[in-house]
Amino acid sequence: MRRIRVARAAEKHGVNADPIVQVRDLTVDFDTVEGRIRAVDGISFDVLPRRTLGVVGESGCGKSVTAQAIMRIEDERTCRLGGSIVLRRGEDTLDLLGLDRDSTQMRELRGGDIGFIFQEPMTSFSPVHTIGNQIIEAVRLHFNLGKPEAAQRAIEQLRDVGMPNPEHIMNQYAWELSGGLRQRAMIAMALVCGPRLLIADEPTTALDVTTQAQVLTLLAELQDRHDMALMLITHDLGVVAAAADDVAIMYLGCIVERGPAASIFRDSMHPYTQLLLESLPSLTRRRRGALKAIGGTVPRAANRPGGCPFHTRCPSAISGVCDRVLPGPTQVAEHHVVNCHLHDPQ
Amino acid sequence: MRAGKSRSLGNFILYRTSISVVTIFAASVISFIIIQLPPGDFVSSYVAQLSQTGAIGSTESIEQLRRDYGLDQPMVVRYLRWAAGAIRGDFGMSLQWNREVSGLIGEYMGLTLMLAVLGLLLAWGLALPIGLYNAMYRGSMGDYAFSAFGMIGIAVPNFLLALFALFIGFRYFNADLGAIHSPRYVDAPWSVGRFFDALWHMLVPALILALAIMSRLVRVLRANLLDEMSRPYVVTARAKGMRELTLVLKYPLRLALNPFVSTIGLTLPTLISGSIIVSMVLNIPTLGPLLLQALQGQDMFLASAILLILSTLAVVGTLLSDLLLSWIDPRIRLES
Amino acid sequence: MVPQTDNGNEMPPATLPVLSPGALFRRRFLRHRLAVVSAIVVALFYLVVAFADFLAYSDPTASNSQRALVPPQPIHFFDDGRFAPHVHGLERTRNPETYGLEYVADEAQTIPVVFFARGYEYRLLGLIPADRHLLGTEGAPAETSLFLLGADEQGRDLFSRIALAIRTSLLIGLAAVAVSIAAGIFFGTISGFYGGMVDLFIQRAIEILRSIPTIPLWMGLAAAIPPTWGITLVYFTVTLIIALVGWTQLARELRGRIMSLRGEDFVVAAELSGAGPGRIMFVHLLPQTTSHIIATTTLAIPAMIASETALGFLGLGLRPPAISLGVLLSTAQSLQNVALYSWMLIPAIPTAIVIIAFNFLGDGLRDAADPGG
Ligand SMILES: Nc1ncnc2c1ncn2[C@@H]1O[C@H](COP(=O)(O)OP(=O)(O)O)[C@@H](O)[C@H]1O
Ligand code: SF4
Ligand SMILES: [Mg+2]
Repeated sequence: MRRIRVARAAEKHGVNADPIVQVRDLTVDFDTVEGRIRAVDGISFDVLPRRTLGVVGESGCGKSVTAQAIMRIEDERTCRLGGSIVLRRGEDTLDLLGLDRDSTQMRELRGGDIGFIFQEPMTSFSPVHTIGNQIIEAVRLHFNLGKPEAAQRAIEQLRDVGMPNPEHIMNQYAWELSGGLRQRAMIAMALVCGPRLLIADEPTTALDVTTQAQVLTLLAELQDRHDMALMLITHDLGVVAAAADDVAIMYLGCIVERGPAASIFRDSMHPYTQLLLESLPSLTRRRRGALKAIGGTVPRAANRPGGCPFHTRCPSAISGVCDRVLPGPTQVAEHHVVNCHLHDPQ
Repeated sequence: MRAGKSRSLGNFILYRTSISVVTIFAASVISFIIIQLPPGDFVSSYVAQLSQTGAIGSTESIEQLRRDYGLDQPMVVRYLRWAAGAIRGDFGMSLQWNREVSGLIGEYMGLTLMLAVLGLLLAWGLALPIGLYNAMYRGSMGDYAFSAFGMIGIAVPNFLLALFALFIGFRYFNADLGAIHSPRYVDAPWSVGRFFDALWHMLVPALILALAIMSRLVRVLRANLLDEMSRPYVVTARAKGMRELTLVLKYPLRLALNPFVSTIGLTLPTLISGSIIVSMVLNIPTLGPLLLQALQGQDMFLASAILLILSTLAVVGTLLSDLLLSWIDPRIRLES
Repeated sequence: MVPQTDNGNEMPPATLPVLSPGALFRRRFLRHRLAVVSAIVVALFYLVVAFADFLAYSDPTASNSQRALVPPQPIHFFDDGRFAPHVHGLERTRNPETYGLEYVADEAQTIPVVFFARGYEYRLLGLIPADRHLLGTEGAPAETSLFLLGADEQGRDLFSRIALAIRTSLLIGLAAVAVSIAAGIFFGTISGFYGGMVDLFIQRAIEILRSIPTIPLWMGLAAAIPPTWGITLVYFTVTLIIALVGWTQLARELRGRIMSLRGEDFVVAAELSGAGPGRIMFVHLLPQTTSHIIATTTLAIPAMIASETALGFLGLGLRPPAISLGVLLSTAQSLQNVALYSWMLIPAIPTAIVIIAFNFLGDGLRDAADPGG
């Protein structure tokens, strides 16, 4: 796949900038009929300003749940969060997990500082409210504007995301639009309050291949234009390879490897990452048959294996170690961290 | 696009209206036939009545009476005559009361509508907050209490509730629930004061009537709200930074209202049935007791007119709620 | 691309015990405690149906003007500290002030209440001639001396009449449901199976039938029953009248189920193997909907019982000398009766209980049959 990156000044995406969001030892548990399930098991990562963090992992590994935790839109009835999510606003820092979900402060951040794009643009819009109604609402939740001014701003934002005939779109319902336009409307709604961080949870999964590329290009352009950080969640390593500056690879609620994209793609250290890369057609020129490169299936979150979560499928597992001890983080290159006994100095 | 949309809305209205017309026609045939079913006719029971009181009519006058009422004609002719009259609002004469049926019905209509509308408003007005509460605090004590109470409300038939209420009212409050006018208004002509007085006295009967429908609506609303609250568009709205209550009121409630509105159409016949039987138990002068008397006395013009009018009320109400639904939910218009 | 499991993205569940659909249904049902309790209550009511005459202790038709409107009578369990259930004899007097009739207990006269006593003759389960009853009196006939729940205006024992009324009303509920089910299954299945014009016609007919308010409709129909007809014929007709509206609900639900099953592989397979439409409908499709039919039936029965009671109450359904819950309640119609002879309202209690129990039971069954819906 072609790199979608738009050329930028080098200092604009420095690896050493202060992170916008610092996630530390985040745990997410669900109370279910089967008991308490650990969906995310103590992950740590940073989202850096003006950079794209690609979060990759198989379905069910806890990507969405992590994103929801940052937005504090977790299911409050069943979901318990632990660890810390620190957001930097200028000189201030703020632990989001210490805030009440429905508090004024949290609601200001949500949609104001952090925008969110969902996987399914069809169901993510109310079917009985017009697109305009819903975007105007987003504007007025964060800015003290009258209806006409808010509508003007909404129209400008729709134009900004390349929507043809935005005035007309304002009066339409989501189900009247094509998939690509719908996702554009979704993006416009997420950006209309000028967030510093945009979280996109599988933004292209529901789209066809051509539209996927268009939306990814659009996201990259918008990120540039608006100086945002982007957290791009996907199960498709190809998408990350094309768009991300930093990568976090997730497996069963853990981040097993993370670091700058270049470093990860050049010198991947974790057996899981290596297998993923091998199965990536465009990078290895293997054919589709390679998709089954990783044998076995992901265990259910309800019965997580002890030790390294990947040991049930890992070709290099060291018996007696990997199934007993959870590997800690090891720095293998600058900002490149891997959790695997193979690289553990002890 | 716009033109297409309004045309499909037009089609929808046309379609629903024609269905309603057919239904009313069918109801009129059924009403008419039912009244013709009993052996003998009004004249024979009238004559029986007269002969009991000693005022025996001669055979000629009986035949004359039959001809006057068109009873010598075939059924179809009689139906057409009756239907033609009904369209003009002329339902013939009530033989029991010796009065125009239309005038008689008009007199009882006010209280009938008052009871039914009050019942509907109470059912709605109570179902909305209770359903909302049950959904937002599902699994709470309040939710359980309302749900269990609602089950009983749905299960126990109206007339038993009315009977229990009548007993309790009499035993413990020394009140006759059927008396819907205060003594000073009993014989007074209609006035604003009399209207509100009747409305006030109607409250308990209307509550009895509303209970089952309300419980059913609460169930529907709770289930729909729970459904809607887990939808992605709700999470989207939350991600915009909306306050939880505002959000529930604007999105899930708005969508949950659609099945809610469509249930209203279905509940109207139930409501009218209920108001009939509740007012019979409590002896409130609505069309209910009038219909019972008419049926018992084979007062066929009166009975069939009441049957037709009650059915028409239900059908028109259902039509209105369907049109309301198509107005609040843009998707409906496209589906049909 | 991240490798995915075979079915796309869902992980296969770890080992779960594999249960048959029937076992799953039972397990889900047993979780509804209220529904289980209700099932027991309903079962008890049908025991009453089966043994109504045995439970009654007085001939429910034996009128006795000397015992008109006896209020419920207290039963004494101990006599001189010895367990010996008895009632006192009744003395009929006129209240010197109100001139109303009153019954006073004659403390001197003790009438023992015993189990398995001889009483009026009946046929057990309609077959075996018998004259034993659960309760009875010694020394004086129960008809003149035992009135646990009071007597009606003709001096007939209310307890015994309620036992028989439960039998009538619950059976009429079953009969009306049977008719409804038959009609509902027939129309629902062909409507769902054939679709098109057949479906359109049946659905319109149902819509029309449902938009006419039932009570006035029933009233009209019931009023048309000639007064000269015998009990059995009236019984039968009332059943039909009640069933007339009841079938529409079931027909609608079945239609929906059949329509969604219609396109499934096993139906196509049956069609390819040459099965005719009748066979497919009633052998392949209908059995798939059994749990729905059971749940809907259970919810329909109380509605039918309520309908009978309502009609009887209005004096339009079953009529005396038939004994049904509706007929018993029709005496409670006047405010005067409710006020002065409040025990005449007692039949409302078993009516309410059986209707509520049936509803809870049906609700539990429906949840168990269709956990999502
Ligand atoms: N509301 C919930 N209740 C219980 N478990 C949940 C819930 N949401 C997510 N999970 C569990 O959390 C895990 C991660 O889910 P998710 O973050 O949606 O995965 P993905 O990486 O595909 O986005 C899954 O195994 C799922 O079983
Ligand atoms: S820790 Fe062991 S099992 Fe886990 S990835 Fe490394 S080698 Fe494989
Ligand atoms: Mg996800």
